[in-house]
Amino acid sequence: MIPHFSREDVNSILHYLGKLIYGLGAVMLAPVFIGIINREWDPSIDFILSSLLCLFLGSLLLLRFNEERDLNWRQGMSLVAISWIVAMFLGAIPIFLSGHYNSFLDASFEAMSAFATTGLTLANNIDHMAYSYNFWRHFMCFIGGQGIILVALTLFVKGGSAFKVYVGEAREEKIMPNIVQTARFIWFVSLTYLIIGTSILFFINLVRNVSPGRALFHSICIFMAGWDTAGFAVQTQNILYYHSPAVETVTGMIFLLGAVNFGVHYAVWTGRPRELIKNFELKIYMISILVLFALICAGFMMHFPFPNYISFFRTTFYQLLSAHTGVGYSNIYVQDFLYYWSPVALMGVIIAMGLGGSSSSTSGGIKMLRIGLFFKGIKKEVRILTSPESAVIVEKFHHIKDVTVQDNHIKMAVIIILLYIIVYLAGGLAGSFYGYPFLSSLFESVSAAANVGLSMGITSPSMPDGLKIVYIAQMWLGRLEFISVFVMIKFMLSLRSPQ
Amino acid sequence: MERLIKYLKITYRWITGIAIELIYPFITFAAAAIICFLLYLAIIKK
Amino acid sequence: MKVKYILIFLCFLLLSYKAFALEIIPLRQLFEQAPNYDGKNVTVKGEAVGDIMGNGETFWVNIRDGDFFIGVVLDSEKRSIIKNLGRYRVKGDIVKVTGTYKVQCPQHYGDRDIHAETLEIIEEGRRLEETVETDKIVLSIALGFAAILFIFYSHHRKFRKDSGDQQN
Repeated sequence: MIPHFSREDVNSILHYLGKLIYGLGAVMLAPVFIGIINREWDPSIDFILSSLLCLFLGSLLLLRFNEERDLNWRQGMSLVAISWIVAMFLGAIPIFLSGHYNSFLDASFEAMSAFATTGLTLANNIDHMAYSYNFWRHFMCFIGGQGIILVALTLFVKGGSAFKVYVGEAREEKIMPNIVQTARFIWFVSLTYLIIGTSILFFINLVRNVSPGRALFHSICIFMAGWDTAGFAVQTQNILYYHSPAVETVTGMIFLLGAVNFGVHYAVWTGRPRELIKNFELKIYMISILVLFALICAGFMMHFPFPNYISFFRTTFYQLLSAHTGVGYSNIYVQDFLYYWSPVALMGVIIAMGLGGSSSSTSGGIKMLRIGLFFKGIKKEVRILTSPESAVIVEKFHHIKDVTVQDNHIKMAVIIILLYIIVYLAGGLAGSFYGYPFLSSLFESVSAAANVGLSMGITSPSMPDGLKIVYIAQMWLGRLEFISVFVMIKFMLSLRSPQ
Repeated sequence: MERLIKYLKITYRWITGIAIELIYPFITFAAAAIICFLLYLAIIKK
Repeated sequence: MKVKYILIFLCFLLLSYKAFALEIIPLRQLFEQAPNYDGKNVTVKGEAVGDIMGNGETFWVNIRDGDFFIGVVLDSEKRSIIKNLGRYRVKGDIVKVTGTYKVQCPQHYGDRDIHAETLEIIEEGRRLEETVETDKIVLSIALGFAAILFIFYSHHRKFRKDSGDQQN
């Protein structure tokens, strides 16, 4: 039984929370530079104000809870869960001040959507939004994807506590021996692809006669939201704004790379490229992508609205990639989903969204490693049943290193899979309760809980507030993969009677 | 001198790593294009 | 005499036919009743936003009508007509476009678009004013002071604690 949280636990958690708020305040200064360069004075002041507010709150916490001790598991998990909520409210402040959101709830939804790298948006009129606010929307995706906690790790915390916080964030691999080194490596990979990806997109935009300043702005934002599998875009029409197969191809490749386990990146970059072929999770992922893609294509058998092969491929594959990697970029309008996609095709997208990408990547969803473990579990059981009693059945696979399948791995995988499915269905029911058609509700619910961001139109500023709260909760639960949230709830309950 | 070789080695692995990684999206796109084409033919035939 | 009336009547018919094509259709209708308009010549209006993208002879501009947007395909001649594009503090030109609407354009990989045949500006765009609220500046300064005070206080406390430990 987990004992109650003590006063000491509370002190530790709130101390680190203070530091994190400091960090958030610091990164809020980045949009100020963007604002000043573009002579956006009012937005710059909004960010300075928000940053100072974070500084103020962080100082309050650090003053009151000033003892720095290493975090244990429970504290680390709870810290992670609480941080996301706090970050949501603080990150919402500058964008709320922009006037592009109907309410603070809407702004909070947006912030949670960004940090959880979902991509569902409630913004009004982003085409007329200042660069600094829009940059902040995308920058939150980048920070959230890289893990708010990782940001803090690389800046503030020393070795031991960091690991517990890191796992709370739902990334299990200890990629390198030292946790801070792992964090730095993740940043290194991201920065490398940031430079490559942004440059290519920048070049494409320049060739299309977009002014260099705007081309750079678009490219960085689109890269950040694409690599971190978030899905925010600079303009209302999302990727469709560009009307460019070149942009779609490049972003598609960015999605696939961002959805790869960081451990695999590490292996390939340090002279073990065979990991790409040997990795069990990646193999399952490729099969899943192709199988679900075939399902989506088959869904158009009864009614085929496309004029030719290339439009068929472009539309269906981009949506599938966007769904399965958990990005949420779209090259079609909501009305296309509603009027031209059959239920079979839509289910293909829903399943792809629900399954998600690789573990230890920026994707959301159930994650392919668990799906793989599930199938391994079935295979093992079948082998046990069909073999003589004395036989010892061993199932193995390769994931960075050779792993023997253990029963508790399978147990955890199945539990988490079921939890996700329950959340998906619950969110779908919530949408239906508010009067939306079931398939659309299910779509939106899976999109929120798996942190994808594709929408069939339910997500809009006029959506019922209750449903907004449901989706916020789903995005939060999904990003943290449940465990941290459960530990945190236990922590909150124990606050009523600390020992 | 030894450090230089070490850095060169790391840089070489880094660049080849990226190049190899970029192959995997290409393969995915290609495989998908083929599957799509086959299904397209099947749908057109109907 | 009769011929004159017939001629007037025919002219009226011709003009009203043109007027039909010139009747501005809200984008919402083009989206929600797409099969009715697919492949037909339509007239729409909207604010040009963002960027004009493309090269050679094909350019794209996105226009906004309320909550709906559509991509308009232009040639280089029409491209130069648009002067203001909607951005922060800029209201874009409101343009009126007549052209063929395609829900899945075969030329453009299935994009939903209008190939513009005519384009004219019906309302010019303009820059808008930005207002800075002084309350926010005052609040920022106040928070800034408070934060600096806190930082000094915590350093002071730490200093005292350290020197207190040393004495012990």
